[in-house]
Amino acid sequence: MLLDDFDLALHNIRSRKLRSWLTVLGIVIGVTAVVALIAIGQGMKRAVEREFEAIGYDTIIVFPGASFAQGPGGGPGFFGGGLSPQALNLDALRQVPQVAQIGYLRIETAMVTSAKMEGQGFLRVTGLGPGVKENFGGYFRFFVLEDGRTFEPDDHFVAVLGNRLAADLGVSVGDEISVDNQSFKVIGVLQPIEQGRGGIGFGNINNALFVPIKALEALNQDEGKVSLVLAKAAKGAKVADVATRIKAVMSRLGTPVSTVTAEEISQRVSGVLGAIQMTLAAIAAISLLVGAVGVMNTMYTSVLERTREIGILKAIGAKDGHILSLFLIESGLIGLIGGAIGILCGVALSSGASGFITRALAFGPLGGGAGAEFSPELIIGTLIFSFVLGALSGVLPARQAAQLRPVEALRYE
Amino acid sequence: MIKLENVARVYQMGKTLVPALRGLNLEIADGEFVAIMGPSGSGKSTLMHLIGALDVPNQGHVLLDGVDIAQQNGNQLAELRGKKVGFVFQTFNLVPTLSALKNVELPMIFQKVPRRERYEKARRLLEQVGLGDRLHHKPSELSGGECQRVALARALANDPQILLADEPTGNLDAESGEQIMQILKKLNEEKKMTIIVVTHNPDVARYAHRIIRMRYGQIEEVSHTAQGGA
Repeated sequence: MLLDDFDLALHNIRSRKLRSWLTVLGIVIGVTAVVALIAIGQGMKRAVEREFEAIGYDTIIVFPGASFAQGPGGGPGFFGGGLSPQALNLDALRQVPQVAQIGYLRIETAMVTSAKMEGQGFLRVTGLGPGVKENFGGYFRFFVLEDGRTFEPDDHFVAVLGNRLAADLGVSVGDEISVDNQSFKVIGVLQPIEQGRGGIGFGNINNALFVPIKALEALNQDEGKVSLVLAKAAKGAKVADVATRIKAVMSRLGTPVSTVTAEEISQRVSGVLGAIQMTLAAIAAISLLVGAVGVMNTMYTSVLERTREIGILKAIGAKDGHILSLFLIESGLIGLIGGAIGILCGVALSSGASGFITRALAFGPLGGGAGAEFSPELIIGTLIFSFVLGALSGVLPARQAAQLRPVEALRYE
Repeated sequence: MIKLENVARVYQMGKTLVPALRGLNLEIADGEFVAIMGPSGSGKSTLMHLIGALDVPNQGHVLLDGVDIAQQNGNQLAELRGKKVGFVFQTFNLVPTLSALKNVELPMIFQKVPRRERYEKARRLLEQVGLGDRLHHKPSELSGGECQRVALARALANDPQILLADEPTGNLDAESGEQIMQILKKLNEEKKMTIIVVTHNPDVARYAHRIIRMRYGQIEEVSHTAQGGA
């Protein structure tokens, strides 16, 4: 019986081609918008998660100063990466229970020039603490050499350059550059990285300039100052608890620090993205609602047009339930067809637009590489939803049709 | 057996009440061929709607095989129509979007006849009315006479006891009308089907055993023809 209803409903849809398709179009537009936005949103969320999975959820980022969002000394803070170095008791940090490993960076701004470059520029120089790159590989996963070698323990005044910076300075491996009038030997050049990618505290890695931390200490004639410490929690330890302990210990020593765990950032960013996504999806849902009103309108018109036909069907034995399900399935099918086409359009749209959108929305160290994601749940859910939406839009018209009195319906011209 | 006892039916047209039937009594035996005649507005169609369980009276009783239709709910009436009664209308009333075959299958769909069975039966019925080569034509692709024969096949789909025809030849040329009436006659004679025809046309009424003339919602005259047959 149900199969027959589908059959008859399809006949009806096909026999009113133009109007049916226009109604379907209304649903298509709504579903397209919703699907595209959700897919892009899911893709971005996924990209954020991947980012932090790569850094590692056991890694705690420690900043000198009580508040990391506003960098010490009023710098642009965490995302801007203006992290002016401060002295921290690293040994105390190392001895906090359940801290497995630490690594640290010192970030300075220095005047950089080269023989081939006219004039000079202030650049960010990142000093790497011993072993930090090796022990925190996820954090440094964009640190990939194109040419030359990386740092060794005995290195002193040597530098590894981002790809763009090397080109700007007109230097390659083996050349000399000048940092605050101290000559550094270029030992490595990094591979170029897609725009917008880097690592926390690096800014754009293509413009990065890495040196051993002791070279920066020598230049500044001080020791023990760091801009950022990475601490790895011991296996099985609760990362948040370790972070709390780090803050307590350092505060007692008179050098308060703030900490960020990958989980915290991930949650915060996901929360923001989720909110943006929900807002956009809600706006898109309005167009879906308009589409549903279109279905309802079409179905009411259809009931009016087919009043006589309904009378005939009742005369030849159709019960109210038959008429009701006939109209419900018809409007449901309109929704389903619209949903199916809408999903295809949404997939096409978000695939095409996601590159553009992620570039537009890329911020700080994140973003980039966030392709749209189409989960099976999204697609199946949308199909079911659009059928139900269509059917719901048809409820009132279908009830009106089912309750027509046969004699009156037959007499209707 | 169809029995109407003191049946009255009033319609509301805007604010005025229009009596269509006023206290009508009538009995039609199984296997009878009856013609109902009378001027427009005399209540012929209303009478037919009541006998066909499309409508219920305001007063009195309409009994189909002893079942009072006024006591039945909407779905029970639908069931009654679907199983016991076949309708043929002046304007054919086929579903325009469906093929001849599907139109004939419709009443069987509502009675949940299995797909294969109803397809075979619909085809057989259409062959019987001479449309074996028109199965997949839409009503718009058929002539008036052909449409009425499809409608007739549809009316017969669930083997009804009663066939109700409202001006079945009204929109047809003489030859097509003749064909339809011959089929009705055959159904009456061979299958003992009760046939009730509403008509203005004396040539159509000639086929009946009994002619009921109506006026002002009441039966004015009942006449018996020789043996009902032209």
